[in-house]
Amino acid sequence: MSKGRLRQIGFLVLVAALVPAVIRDAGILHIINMMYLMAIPAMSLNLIMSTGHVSFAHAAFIAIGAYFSTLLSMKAGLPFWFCLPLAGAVGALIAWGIGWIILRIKGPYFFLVTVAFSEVVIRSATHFKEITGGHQGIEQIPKPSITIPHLFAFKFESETSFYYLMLAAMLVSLLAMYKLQRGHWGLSWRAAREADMVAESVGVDVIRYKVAAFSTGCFFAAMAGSLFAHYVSFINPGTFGLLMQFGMLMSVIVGGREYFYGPIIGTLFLRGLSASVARMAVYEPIVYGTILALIILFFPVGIAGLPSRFAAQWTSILYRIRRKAHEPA
Amino acid sequence: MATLYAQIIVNTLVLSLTYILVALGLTLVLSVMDILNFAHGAIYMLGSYFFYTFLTNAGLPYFLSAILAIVLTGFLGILLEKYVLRRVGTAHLEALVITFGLAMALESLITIIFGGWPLPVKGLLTGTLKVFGVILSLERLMIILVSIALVGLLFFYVGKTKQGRAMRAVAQNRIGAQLQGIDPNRVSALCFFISCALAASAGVLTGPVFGIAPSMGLSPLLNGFTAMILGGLGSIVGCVVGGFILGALISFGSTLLNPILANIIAFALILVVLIFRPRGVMGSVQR
Repeated sequence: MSKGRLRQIGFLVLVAALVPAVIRDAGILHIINMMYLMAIPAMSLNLIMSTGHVSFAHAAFIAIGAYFSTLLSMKAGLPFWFCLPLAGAVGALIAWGIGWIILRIKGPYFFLVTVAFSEVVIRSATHFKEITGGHQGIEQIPKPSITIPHLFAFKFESETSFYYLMLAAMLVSLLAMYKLQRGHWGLSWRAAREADMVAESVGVDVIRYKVAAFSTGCFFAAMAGSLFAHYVSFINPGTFGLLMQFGMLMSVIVGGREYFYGPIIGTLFLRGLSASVARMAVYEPIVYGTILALIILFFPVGIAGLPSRFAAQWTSILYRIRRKAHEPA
Repeated sequence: MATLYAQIIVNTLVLSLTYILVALGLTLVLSVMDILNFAHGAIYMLGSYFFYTFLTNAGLPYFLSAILAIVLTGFLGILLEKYVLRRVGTAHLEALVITFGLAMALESLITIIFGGWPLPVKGLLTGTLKVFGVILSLERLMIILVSIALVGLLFFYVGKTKQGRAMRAVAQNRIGAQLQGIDPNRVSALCFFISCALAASAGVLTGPVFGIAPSMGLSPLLNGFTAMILGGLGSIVGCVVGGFILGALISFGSTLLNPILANIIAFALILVVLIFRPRGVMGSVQR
């Protein structure tokens, strides 16, 4: 990362850290917290998509993380800080197990396998009532807290405290994924997407890299699920249905899947859009769906690609003006 | 006991044929245009609401409103293909997201107009038929016969007519078909018309049995996908076979076990089928 880019990002983080000082409204802070939270799985979905496989089971992995973490903290009494990485590990393990089999399938077939997998997960969460609470779900999930005996105790309760937790979680995941995608692994993933036969012929063990990408992506998804469960304090199978899955897919596409920051921009944009049209009550899905379709039809590269597109147009305009100025009268 | 099993079998046929009508539309669109159409469930829903409007609000006779509903939905499909999906081209991820957005918008539109609650639809036939001491509903028997006729008609159309041959050519190779003087855009529009009309006819037929509601499209959509995978993507015969397997599984499973468990088993079955035989029961070679 160049020094200028580092300075820009530092500035952005500083601004983000000061947001709660300006915005006092708990409702708006909640929306922003959910933006940060959902940006994590959106980015990790893009990471999986960089290998050329579009997973539709991402919300199912969020559900796995959420349920596992909830059960650990409520049945086994473990604190949140243990549940979070354990949930991530379980998600990654399941993804690793099924990845070896399903990642050999390509195109629409892969997509439909993941649809089936996510239906199995969500419907199982509905069916096995003794463990998961069925349709009603699980309530009063303990919120995270930091306790050092006799010295210090802090419980995450207010939206402001959660704001910093979500911001930190998003930044850490962002950094980890940035390192991965810019490194040797990311290169192999993109090679696997562009031409997996060619990649295989030069000695890339394609399926291994794909499984690694899939488990990494699902690791972050399951962690986000754990964060979600302990933040909202309530989970049920309906939360992790088609709507959440499509929300993430839309974030990636609307934001721009060729850009690393695309999914974040997409999540911020779509969540902001849905929050601002929420006042229209019943008309919300129509307005939301229409705006979405228009964006995809007219800006297929995504929002993250707009600056460079405008820059290119601006350059050509400048060029034309200059050429006119130099032409002899 | 005999009545129970006979009724399960009739239910199986009704369910299977609904899935088959939905899955056939999905298959046509997938093989000709390479698009997974997530709005198909909403189109099925729209067809049955058109039918309801013509039948109840406008007071038209059953057959006229059924045909009007089916044709109108088909033309909506052509508009959708021409103004939305053609612009996206074969970028199937974008098409997927757009069709889902559209399904969401349609569902909420219908909720605004008709309300979110389920509505009853008047059927054509009431009463029952007693065969060998087994009581069967006439309405359901009619659904079975009409659906079989529709599936047969589609087989004839795709297999024997000139337009059907053009459709298969475009599905095999778009550019090759174009070189032979086939206009792929026209074929796509035609195929979308047929696909939507089939979905609408499923909606018209099953409306009186299951009732209609704005959210009624989701389950046939997912089950249509399932039937399509079980049979093999892009194969029309496979669709029919997959639909029957799925219908039997869900109908017997729901009656003898539990509806949710039956669905879990169905989806687990697709996972297994896709892992061990990715081209499905009847599918051709994977592209």
